[in-house]
Amino acid sequence: MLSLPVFSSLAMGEKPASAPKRFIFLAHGWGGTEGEFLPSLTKPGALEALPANLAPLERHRESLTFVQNTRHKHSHEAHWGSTFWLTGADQYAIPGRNFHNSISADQIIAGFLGSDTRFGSVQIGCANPEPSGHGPGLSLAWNSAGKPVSGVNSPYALYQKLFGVEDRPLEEQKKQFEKKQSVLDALAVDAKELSGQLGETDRDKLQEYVSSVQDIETSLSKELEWIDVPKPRPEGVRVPPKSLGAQVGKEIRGEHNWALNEFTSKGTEGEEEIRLTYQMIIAAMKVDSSRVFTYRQPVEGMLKDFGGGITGHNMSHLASEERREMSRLRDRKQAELLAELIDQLKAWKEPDGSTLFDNTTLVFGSNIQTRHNLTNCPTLVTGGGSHIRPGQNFVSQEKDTPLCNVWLTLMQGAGLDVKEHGDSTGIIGDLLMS
Amino acid sequence: MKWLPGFLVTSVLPLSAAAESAPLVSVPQHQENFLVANCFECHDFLTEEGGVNLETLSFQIDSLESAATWQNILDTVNRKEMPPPDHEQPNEEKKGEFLRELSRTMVEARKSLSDRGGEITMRRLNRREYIRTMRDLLGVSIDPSLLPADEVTRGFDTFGASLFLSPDQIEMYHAIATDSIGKVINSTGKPAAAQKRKIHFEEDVNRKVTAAYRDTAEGYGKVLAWEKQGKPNPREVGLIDTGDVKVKRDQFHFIGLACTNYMTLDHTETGVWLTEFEPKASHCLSVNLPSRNDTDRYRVRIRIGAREDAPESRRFLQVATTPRQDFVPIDCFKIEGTIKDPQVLEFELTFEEGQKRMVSIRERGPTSQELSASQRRNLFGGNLLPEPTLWVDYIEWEGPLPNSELITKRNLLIPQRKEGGEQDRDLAKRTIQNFAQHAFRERSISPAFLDRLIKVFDEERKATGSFREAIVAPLAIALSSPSFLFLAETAPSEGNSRKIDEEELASRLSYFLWSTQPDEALRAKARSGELAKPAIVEAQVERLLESANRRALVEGFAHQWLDMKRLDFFQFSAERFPGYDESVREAAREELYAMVEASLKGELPLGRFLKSGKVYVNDLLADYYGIDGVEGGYFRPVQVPKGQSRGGLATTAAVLMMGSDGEQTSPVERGAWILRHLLNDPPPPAPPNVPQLEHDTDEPITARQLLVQHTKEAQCAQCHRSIDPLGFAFEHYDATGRWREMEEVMGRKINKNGKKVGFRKKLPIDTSGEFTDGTRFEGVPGVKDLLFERREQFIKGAAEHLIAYALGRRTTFSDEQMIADILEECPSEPTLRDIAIQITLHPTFREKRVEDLAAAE
Repeated sequence: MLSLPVFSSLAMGEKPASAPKRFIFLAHGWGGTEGEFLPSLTKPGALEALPANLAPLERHRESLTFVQNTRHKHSHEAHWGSTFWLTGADQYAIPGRNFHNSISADQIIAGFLGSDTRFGSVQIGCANPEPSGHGPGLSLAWNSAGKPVSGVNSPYALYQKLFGVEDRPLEEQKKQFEKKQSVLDALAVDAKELSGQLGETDRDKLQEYVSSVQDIETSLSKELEWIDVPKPRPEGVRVPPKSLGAQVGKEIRGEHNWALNEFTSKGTEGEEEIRLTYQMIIAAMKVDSSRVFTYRQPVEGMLKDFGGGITGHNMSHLASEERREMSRLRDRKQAELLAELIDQLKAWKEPDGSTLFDNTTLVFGSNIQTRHNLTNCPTLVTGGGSHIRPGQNFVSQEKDTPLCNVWLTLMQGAGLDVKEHGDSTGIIGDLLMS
Repeated sequence: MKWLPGFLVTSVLPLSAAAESAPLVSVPQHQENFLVANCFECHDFLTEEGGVNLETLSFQIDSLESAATWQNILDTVNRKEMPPPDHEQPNEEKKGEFLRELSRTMVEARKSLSDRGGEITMRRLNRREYIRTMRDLLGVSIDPSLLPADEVTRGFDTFGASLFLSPDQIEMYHAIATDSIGKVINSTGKPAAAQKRKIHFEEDVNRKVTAAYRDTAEGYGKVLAWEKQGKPNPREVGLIDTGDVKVKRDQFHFIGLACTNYMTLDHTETGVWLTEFEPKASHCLSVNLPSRNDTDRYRVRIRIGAREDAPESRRFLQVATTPRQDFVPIDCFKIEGTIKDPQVLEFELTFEEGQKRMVSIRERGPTSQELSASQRRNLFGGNLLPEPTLWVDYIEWEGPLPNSELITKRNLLIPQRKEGGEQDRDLAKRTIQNFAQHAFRERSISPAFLDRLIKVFDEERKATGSFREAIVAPLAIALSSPSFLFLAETAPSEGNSRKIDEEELASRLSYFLWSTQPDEALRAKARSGELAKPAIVEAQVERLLESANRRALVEGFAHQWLDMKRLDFFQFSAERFPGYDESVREAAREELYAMVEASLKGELPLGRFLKSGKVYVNDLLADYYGIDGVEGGYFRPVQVPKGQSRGGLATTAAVLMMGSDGEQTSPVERGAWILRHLLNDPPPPAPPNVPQLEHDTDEPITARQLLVQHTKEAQCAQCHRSIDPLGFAFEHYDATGRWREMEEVMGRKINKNGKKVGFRKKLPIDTSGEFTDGTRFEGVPGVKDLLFERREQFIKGAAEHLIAYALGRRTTFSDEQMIADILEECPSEPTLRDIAIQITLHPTFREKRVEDLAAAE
């Protein structure tokens, strides 16, 4: 029943031919500050200077590439920065239904890069994603059926997932797995029997259940595969407090309700939450727990740090100088944290002598540019994983180039055999190093 | 004007298949003349004002989307919203012609589209339904926080299409089911031996008060000595540092003086006064109850009285099951007893397994205790604390009270073993079959699934050696299965529609009216084959609506229909709104529930939601509204005193609070809420990039003056000319819904030191206005008259929402006929109960329809 984990050949001392490719997608909800976050559209080419708010990234300027003039043509929900960001789906693709989504780029990538690691992909989120401008979904990831893939929503939960120690004896764990398997088998039987009696729409609804059960099965067999491999100890990462990030943006919903729930306390919790998460991503990469990471960031947590009493939504309208200042502070802090993350990627050496940075593709962006605009999605790419020309302000000749063309370029650039994605029309050849 | 969806869909859809099922209806091409002459100036391809472009509009009504677009045009012109009054108006005759013809076209289109769409997506139990169903099935209470909130973007949590499922959730359902079944099977049903305790507090409180006085006085003595000695190093008088000096002084001034004051009160030898001794914590008496791993009920009695001269607003006692640091009131009682003749207040509390067991009481007051000394003095007539008014003799508790629920459920769960020693396996099979039949709402378990579950039982039986332990796993799987979690209805075997069977009808009725599985009486009616008869259904609906279980519908429907989540968004400042506290919020919420409940009971016609001489209040809310003579904590209709304008939804405290931002009134929110909910004419969402209105002078101006800017920008004026005036009419009610004569606003001025400082000023309020169709109104009574005259719109809106809630899907354009039919069958002044009954009698409620996919593809 137990198959031999693929990685064990490595454990026996065989050297990998080359270090594995890795991807990180970081989504920052409401987008950046208008006019201060993206380089000028009229100055394409070498990235000579960074926009004011990104000054903390100066030491990495020559590694950064901005990709401009892209968008998702189907997106029109101005509060959903993440729902379609990696998918490019048409919400109304199915007549009569009010929500539809399709597979996200990270999940396609995980299909290629995820089989040899403990976690095929790791989805990270925050406590209340909507006020941070992310929109519906359980993470950035959507599976092949277009259903949301869940993630962990606090640094503590992330720590437990990646590094938490299992203290039950192996035999007991295995028994537990078998039991779970028989539960899933039984549930699948009922779903199949029921499905036969249903109409098309209901069957599609039931498919959510079926694919959820399949997802549990997949992760179960993956867990089983890794059951006798202890989780690695992370290097230099402390266990995050359980409470960190729990208070981010209390639940706010509804069309007119974004303006509420302002806060005034000051602190560093929001900043810490993101910093710790970055540290854990690096630690997990070092021990090769996973090669694909997505992160819906808690924008609101950071605003709380600044104590300006402004919510993410209101900040992003930039309606007053005070709000613009908040947005500016947020940009700078994000840039500072991102610079630290890039430092760490550059510092770690793989066994073949290359650095994590050389093999990683890191994207920082959102479906929302600024002020709720869904055009020119802010896209910042770095890392050598996809052979993107570094140090560029790339402005697509064609306005409204599909953002999915960028995702396709990144995937093909990393050597993944992907022909199309979302509404892509082809790769952007000029982005790639010749 | 609404955002008009669907152009893309229209142009992309191939129509051949659809054409076979129903002839397509087209708007005659000459109708375009009217659009060209009157609409294209703003709504053409280039200008697209408000995002509306009529130039590329398809004249063929081939989908629900394009129909909705045309219906919007019809409605908007009909309501004289378009062209806007300040634009050139169309020739009346031509306009009439256009409207008449378009209405006829729409009737045809409705017919052609009515045999498509309208499918109800199978839904999983939403969180509310899951919790109630588990309670009815097993007698267990489930912590709602274990399950994710149902993501409903627009509409109700009964819309199957919007209810998603994730792997985590399935694992959670399974964990909850395993835990719950185990609990029922292992319950003995016997509560712990009941105990009874009576607690007196005076000895303890008096000792603490004396000690606190002594300690603070001692500290203050040192402060005085320190001052007398010319403020040397504080260590010389036994104080730590100057910070300590301040602390000791403050402590004496607050705690010390509070204690002194307490010691001078009467009746402290026989009971205790509810008052504060420390800043930032209102005094609260707490009693711990013994903890147990079960759900238990306790009876609590409190002997209590209020000072005879206490004002009404200071006679309320809050009860919580949390300690004073996080006192969350779960109930509030008005104290009628006096010090001489105290009353014994009696109530019951239920504690869940694992919950900390405690009873805490305090006088009702603002939750935010963080008032500065000066704010306190302002509020309490120069004192730091109010005079105490409530006096408590004792708190008594008794329990746990007998709870036979679990044992009953257990006996139902596991049938009696047959005479002559039935094999475990056979008993297991019967158990699973019975349970599944019940849990799946009379759908039989499939043989394949049953086999699987018996296999699971066999394995467990082998591993544990016990029937009781082994039966848990298969039953828990049954409760994690789609047959339980989804309200499944079999597809029609031919055609695209069939009449649902009686069991399915029972289930629809029960989830509509009770948000839970059908009870035994309903199942029995279904089994007898009588349920389909209109008279029987009507009788059942009446029975269900008579039961206290209707509360599920009251809360579930009212909360979502009236967008009540906004009520929980704000913390109102205790200083600015002294009469407001958490109990007011709860009572305000309850008032809306009480109105909806009264209407569901058939007592309150919907028209009275708009204009009424009565309010639904309890003692606390009556006091808040300034209505005398209301005793008792229950809600009932009460005549509004002369000279007040309350009565009807728009002037309830809840709606007025939702129409604020927590500090100021928001005429925009109030106006938009009225349009959306009372006139059934939702304004479009605010466009992106709306700048915040700011005024650049330091002169104080009213909210109305500030909002004048809306009329200056054509883009704003388009919507705000219908929104804002309605809101202005309610400006005599402050952010917490209390009457005010004048509006208090902030301004800035230069003081004598040349510094800019803020100041407050009271300005008169203007509540006159004009409705979009030109009707002028004056203040709240004027708006209420206007609303009442247009009550058909409100009634239709209420019906649409109740239908959507009941069916579990959005009502769309092709439902117009059904809505009309349902209202046609109701009396001329219908209640929600009339509409609920007619919904259940309508064929749509009794059919299972499937989408004609061939037509859509």
